[in-house]
Amino acid sequence: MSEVFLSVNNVFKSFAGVQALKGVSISIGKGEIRCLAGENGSGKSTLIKVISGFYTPDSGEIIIEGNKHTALSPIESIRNGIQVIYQDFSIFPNLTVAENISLNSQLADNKRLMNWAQIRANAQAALNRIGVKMDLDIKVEMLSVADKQLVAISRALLQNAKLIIMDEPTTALTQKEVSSLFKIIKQVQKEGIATLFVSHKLDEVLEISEKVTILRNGENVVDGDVKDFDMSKFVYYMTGREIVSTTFAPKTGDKEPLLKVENLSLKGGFKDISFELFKGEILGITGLLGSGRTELALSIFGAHPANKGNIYVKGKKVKIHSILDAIRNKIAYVPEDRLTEGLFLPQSINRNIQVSVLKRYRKKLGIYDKKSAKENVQKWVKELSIKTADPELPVVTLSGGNQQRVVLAKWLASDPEILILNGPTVGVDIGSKTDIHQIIRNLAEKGFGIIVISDDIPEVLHNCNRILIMKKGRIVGETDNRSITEKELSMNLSQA
Amino acid sequence: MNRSIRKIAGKNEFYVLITIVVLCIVIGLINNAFLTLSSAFDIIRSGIEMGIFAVGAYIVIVSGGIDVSCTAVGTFAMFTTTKILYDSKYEGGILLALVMAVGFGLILGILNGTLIAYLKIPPLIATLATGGIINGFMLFFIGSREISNVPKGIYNAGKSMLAVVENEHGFKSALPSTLLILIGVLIVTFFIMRYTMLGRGIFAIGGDMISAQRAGFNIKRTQMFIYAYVGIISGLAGMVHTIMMINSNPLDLSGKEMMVIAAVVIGGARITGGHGSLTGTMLGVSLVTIMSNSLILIGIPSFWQRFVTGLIILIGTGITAYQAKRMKKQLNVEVAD
Repeated sequence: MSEVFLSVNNVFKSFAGVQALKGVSISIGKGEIRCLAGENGSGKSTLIKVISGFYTPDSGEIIIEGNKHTALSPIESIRNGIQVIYQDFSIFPNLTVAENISLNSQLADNKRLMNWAQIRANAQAALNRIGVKMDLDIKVEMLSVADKQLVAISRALLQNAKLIIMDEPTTALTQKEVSSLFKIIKQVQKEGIATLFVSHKLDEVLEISEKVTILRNGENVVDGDVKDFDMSKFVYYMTGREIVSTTFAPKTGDKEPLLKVENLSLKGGFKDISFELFKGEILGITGLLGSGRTELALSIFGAHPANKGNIYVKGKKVKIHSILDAIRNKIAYVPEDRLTEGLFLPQSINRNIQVSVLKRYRKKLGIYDKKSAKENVQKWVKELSIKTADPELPVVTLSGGNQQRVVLAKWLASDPEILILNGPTVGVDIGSKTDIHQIIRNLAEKGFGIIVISDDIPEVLHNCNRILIMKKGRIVGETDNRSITEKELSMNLSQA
Repeated sequence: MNRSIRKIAGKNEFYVLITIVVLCIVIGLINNAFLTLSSAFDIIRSGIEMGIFAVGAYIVIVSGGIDVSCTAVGTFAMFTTTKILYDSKYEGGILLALVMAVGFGLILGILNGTLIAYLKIPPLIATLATGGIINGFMLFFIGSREISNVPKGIYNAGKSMLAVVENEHGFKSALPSTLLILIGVLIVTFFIMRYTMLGRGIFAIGGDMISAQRAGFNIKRTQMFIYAYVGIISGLAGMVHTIMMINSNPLDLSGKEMMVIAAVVIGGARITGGHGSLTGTMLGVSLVTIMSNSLILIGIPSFWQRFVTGLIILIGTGITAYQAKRMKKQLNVEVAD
């Protein structure tokens, strides 16, 4: 048994009467790679904030390298070698790579002046430790997501990290980038640096971690060796219910496609894309990040109109030059990044759902019909089982899965016939994921034509009856959900 | 080599410089009186005051805030100082006047800083309010009549020149000593912004406030510093105005804050914070000053100058906005053939 670096014992924390942590314990050995898993609201983020000193626990103790702390401050946590890499990496987009890597350690060392030569040298040394080459003088806003993450990791190393906590580090990475991230985690492990990996992407958890701690409703559910877990066990512990995955079979009868795309091309996006979508179908489009899948979706939705090719809706040729054109043709798009593209976070659920259909609630003289608008919203809140006390609450108060439902409701309120869902469950925990999949299937059964764009292979396989595979802006294959296995499909995707 | 050229060409400062050069050539071709040392002196002379104000506005904008009270602070500092020295029949040098103006600026800056850093009032609202309060308070309690018979120290400072040239018609153009104040402010500010953690903290806050907090920057203290320092600069700028005019009129500066902010934004500072340079700021000030001073030389009447200045602001900021938009929209999927 390796030496213990950090142990958290029996920690309680409540917020305004809500008990977020009910006696949670976790321990991390030196150089250990541990996964912390749990659904949204399970207490994961509260626990991280307790470890990083942002929250003071109501009771319980934190022991770092044998020293007991009852109240840890953020700066103490950092001085003890604990570094958190948040999902947004907490970087400064306007500053250079060198400065981003070095600034935090300058602050921690109470430096008042900037020695630019030293800063560059420190940054270079940190990058060398993880074997990464990067232009030190480029502004971080110009970097890819993966490179931004490397900057954040280098910054953590420069502050003598002994434990790096990564919050959902792989959400926006391509498969290739994920494997190089894992290589780096293994590499820093050799230096005795532990990693706490917070994720609900189960396949990744199983690949990288040695130990697993699972929380549910603010309590420890299970703690153990990753070898003793498999996918279904994992899901069971996280959600507390057995989730059976079934494959989707559509009820189609129509001869005429609802949507037909013919030789669609967009410079810098995709080329010669043709496919058909029938009523009641769920068509999957899968491909890696940068395969043109999102560009294709945006193009059909009018946000990036195509340069060439034809689009037919119900056999009629239509021109889609703008989002308004798409909406008129009853096409709706639910974006990948619901937070920046889909929602007005500080506004109420009610208003968010109504925004796309405001015109419909116009009475005489253009006066807004509050009552009927509200009734309609209530209908969707019920239909999609959005968990909220009051639709007047801001969307920001909802969990990820529920926010995703609000985006769906917003578009469903506009009565679309064709629904394009881009990454419908990105960043959503497993329980909500299953619920959203069920909602999508119900919609298909009601006669919507649905396109699901996703690189989550099990999601595509279980929920789509046909799957198109995109690579380098082209469709390179089509398959149905019975004639291919998860492994084959994922191999197919990652091959260049 | 190619890379560094592209790096320079990609910078906003580069476009402002080109615009200035083209503008100078055009004005010079139409009226060759423009391309002389004396006209250069005139432009520098009329740019000093705006230059000092702009350094303050630059810092605030980099931090992601805005200060529309800067001219009110400047007016209060210069007029109150002049009034006190005038009433007490002070006969000494300029130093006391400068110290007093800096002091008034500092106090008002701390007022802004308190509202913004501690009471969390959005900077635009806070400074809009303090700007009005300061102006009204001064006009009511301290006075609204201009003081033309300024104390001796201010008078002498106003007459003090670094260099004087005479053109063929016998008109004199001079480089005033107040230029040294601008240069001093520039040097101090450059050092703070580039070589201190405080200055980098200002950039960090402007880049991402939450990240700055997580990194351990003291946001409140940094914001307090920003507005206090800008108060000092505004106080100085106001005093410089009185010195150069040899006259203290409490109504002179009002409304100029928008031109100052425009000059900073033309110089490449993004209004959303985090970006900008002192070089760019000075180029922006130069462009605006040349526009408002020299268009008369090529026969553009003065109300058209305001039109053209507005247009330049629109184009100058429009280019930055357009570039940002294009970058956001750019597609970069490598499509296979």
